[in-house]
Amino acid sequence: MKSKYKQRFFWGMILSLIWQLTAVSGIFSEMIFPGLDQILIALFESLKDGTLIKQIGFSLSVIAQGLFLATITALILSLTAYFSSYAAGLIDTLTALAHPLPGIALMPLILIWFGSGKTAILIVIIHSVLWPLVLNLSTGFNSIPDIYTLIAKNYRLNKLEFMYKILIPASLPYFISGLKIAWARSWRALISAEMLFGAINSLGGLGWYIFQKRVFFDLPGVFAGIIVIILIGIAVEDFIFEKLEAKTVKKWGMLK
Amino acid sequence: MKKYLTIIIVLLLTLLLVSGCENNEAGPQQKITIAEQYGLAYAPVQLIKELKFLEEANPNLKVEWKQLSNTTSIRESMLAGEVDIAFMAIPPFLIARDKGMEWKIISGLSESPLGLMTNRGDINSLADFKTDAKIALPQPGSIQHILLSMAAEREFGEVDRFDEQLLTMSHPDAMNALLAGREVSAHFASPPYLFLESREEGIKKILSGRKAFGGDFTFIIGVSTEEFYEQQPKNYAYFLDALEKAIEFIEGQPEEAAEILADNYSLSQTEMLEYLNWPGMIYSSEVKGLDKFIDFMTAEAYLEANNYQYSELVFEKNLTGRETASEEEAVQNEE
Amino acid sequence: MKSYLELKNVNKSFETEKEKKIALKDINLEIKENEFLTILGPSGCGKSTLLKIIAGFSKTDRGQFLKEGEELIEAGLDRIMLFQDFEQLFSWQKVIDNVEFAVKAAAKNNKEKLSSAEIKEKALKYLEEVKLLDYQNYYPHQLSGGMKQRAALARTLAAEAEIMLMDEPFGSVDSQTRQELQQLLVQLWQEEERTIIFVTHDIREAVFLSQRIVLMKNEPGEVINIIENKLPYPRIRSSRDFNQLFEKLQSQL
Repeated sequence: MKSKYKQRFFWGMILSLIWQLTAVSGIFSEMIFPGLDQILIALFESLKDGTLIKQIGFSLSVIAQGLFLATITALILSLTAYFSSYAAGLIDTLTALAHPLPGIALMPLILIWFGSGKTAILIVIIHSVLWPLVLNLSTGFNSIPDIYTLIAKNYRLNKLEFMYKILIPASLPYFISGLKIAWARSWRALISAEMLFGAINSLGGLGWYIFQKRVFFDLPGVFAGIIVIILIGIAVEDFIFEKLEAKTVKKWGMLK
Repeated sequence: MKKYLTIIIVLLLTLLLVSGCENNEAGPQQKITIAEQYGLAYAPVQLIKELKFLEEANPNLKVEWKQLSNTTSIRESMLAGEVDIAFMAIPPFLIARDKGMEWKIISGLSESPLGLMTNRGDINSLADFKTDAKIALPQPGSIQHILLSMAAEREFGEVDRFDEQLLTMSHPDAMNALLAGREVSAHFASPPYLFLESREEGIKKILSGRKAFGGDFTFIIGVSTEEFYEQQPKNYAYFLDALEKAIEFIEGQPEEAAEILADNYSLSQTEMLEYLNWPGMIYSSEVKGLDKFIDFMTAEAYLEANNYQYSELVFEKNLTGRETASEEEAVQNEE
Repeated sequence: MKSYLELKNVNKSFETEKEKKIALKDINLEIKENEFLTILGPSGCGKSTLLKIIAGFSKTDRGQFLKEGEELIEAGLDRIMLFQDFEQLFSWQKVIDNVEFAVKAAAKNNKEKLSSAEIKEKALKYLEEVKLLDYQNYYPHQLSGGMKQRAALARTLAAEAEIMLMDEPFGSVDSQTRQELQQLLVQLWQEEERTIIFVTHDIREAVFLSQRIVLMKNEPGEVINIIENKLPYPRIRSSRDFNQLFEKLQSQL
């Protein structure tokens, strides 16, 4: 564990060094290859005047809402599919249709149906997250050992009790890995959607921050935004998901 | 540690190799890449393409046309050395010039009617816009954004009065949203979208570009990189000639031009001609309003410097009809 | 007089792609209250299927399973099954919570309201009976195979069912542990009044545990003999009587 961070730190420093050397060498124009110093200054200034913090807050709150709504919907859909074979057919068809479709491809439709702004971004996030979650949850539900259904019969659990006492905890490893995919996909979808659906001078999230820096030709600002995106990505994967796994499936011996 | 050192050296060598390759590529070339955009204001550029003015002037020249959807990506392609000549509005050009991008104006291209169109009956002037009424325009820093800011400054003394209610949309998306009557209450449109929207019932113009600016201004200019200007002076000159010819053609023989261009814009010939002759649609190599844009954009902190010499913004060889100081003179002036 | 449990003419077959396999053929059996009965037979003789029918997990093709004269089809908390599979414990719950699961289910079934202290008290009692009190806060994956089966046994006991159904519950543990568990089970059965139906293919296990042994054969699954086992408890595996009975059974299988 420790050595992973050590290695990352080491290679991070090496890559930064190469970056800086390249920037200083003047092989590329400063316009297309700003130095780390400029990038860090841009980052620091955006942090200082509060704009970046607000945009980060906006992005994180939108993604939290999107993930929450998508998770609830995915749970409802996959549970319905688990208990009813009719619904299973329908949901399987929907998933097969919608899963391969990138959210960005739906942008024109979303614009016309939901307008632009936060609703549109939420729709894109939910779309990009819902289907992989449904797939994972359904696989998880269908792969719980038969013995659990017998136990549920034997102890006369009703459907609701079976659901929260057995079905959901027993498929938690699938649920968590689904959430991981969901997070990765929604984070990407969020940034690209924000780049398209922002409003000038208002809160539009990190993607919008980058887009604004881009149209005003502020490359160090663009890189500052990218650095924040990377850091948040790492933080969520390494801290939130690792903690969640350590507290659940790893502790329960369901995941080696 | 030794292992890591080896890896670092290999990485550095690879980097050098890659950069070496980049440098070797810049040899003499017989190719010109021009970025094209959709819109009536770009009609002379389409004419150059259709009538093959460049190929005629230099049969050895390979002419490549690149379709790019917005000014920002055109700018980035030019920075990457993929595009030599492009056309855009004055503000995005100035923003990049101000940030140090090495490019200059080669010519004016067109003046054009622009209009802030609304689908709401209760809005008859800028003052009627409540904060919930969203206005669609291409992007922050676009000419539409600057014009709206100018109008807001003049009428209310608040440049950023509408900034919270602006939505970034491409013209076709914005037109759809305006016609659908959802989400968007207004669209700052250019032709042909402006013409299409003004035909629709219930949609009216509440502000013209000319009124917002407070006079005439050039909508679209031609720009090129200094690299292209210096390394391919002949091809640059061919392009200048072609552009001049195209502008004269459109102004002198609009019927013929309409016939040639109609397919290009998916319009009938009569419509095309009607649009080309629309009042205020003027194709001209003159650049109008440059100083006023610079002054406003500097005052509102879109630009850092405002003491630009004309020769810093426009190539010595140009079509604008104004002489720029020659290189020697410019140096002498600075001394 | 009606018998406590009765299997009447039970038939069950499974269809595979190639053939129809008769798992159970004309099974007739009576079981007395508080009896310890083993069903002994080679694998594939239908003994597990028979247990599933009794549990209500599976239906007969023909014939009935009766309790005090009434046919039972559904599964219920009066007949709790102990499986062989270690997975029967909920891996996401501590041992104590696994046992409490059964206490709660039973209370709900009897429409009893128990406080959480009472639930815990009951669970602890059964953990103590299987000598697993010290491990109440362990997760199942932290336990050895024998301990897992003890925990599962505690859960089965905690349901307080009149009838306990056991499907080779000690089949996956080593022989030392198996003997310990057998001893424990006999002891528990003697302390509390319950009926136990125990399925096994291990002759010694059957001889050690039960009062009556139902011998089955396969293809088709049929009862070939029912043997009374009158050896006094606690039974001694090395005794002459024990081994005589063992040999008698072996010769019939």
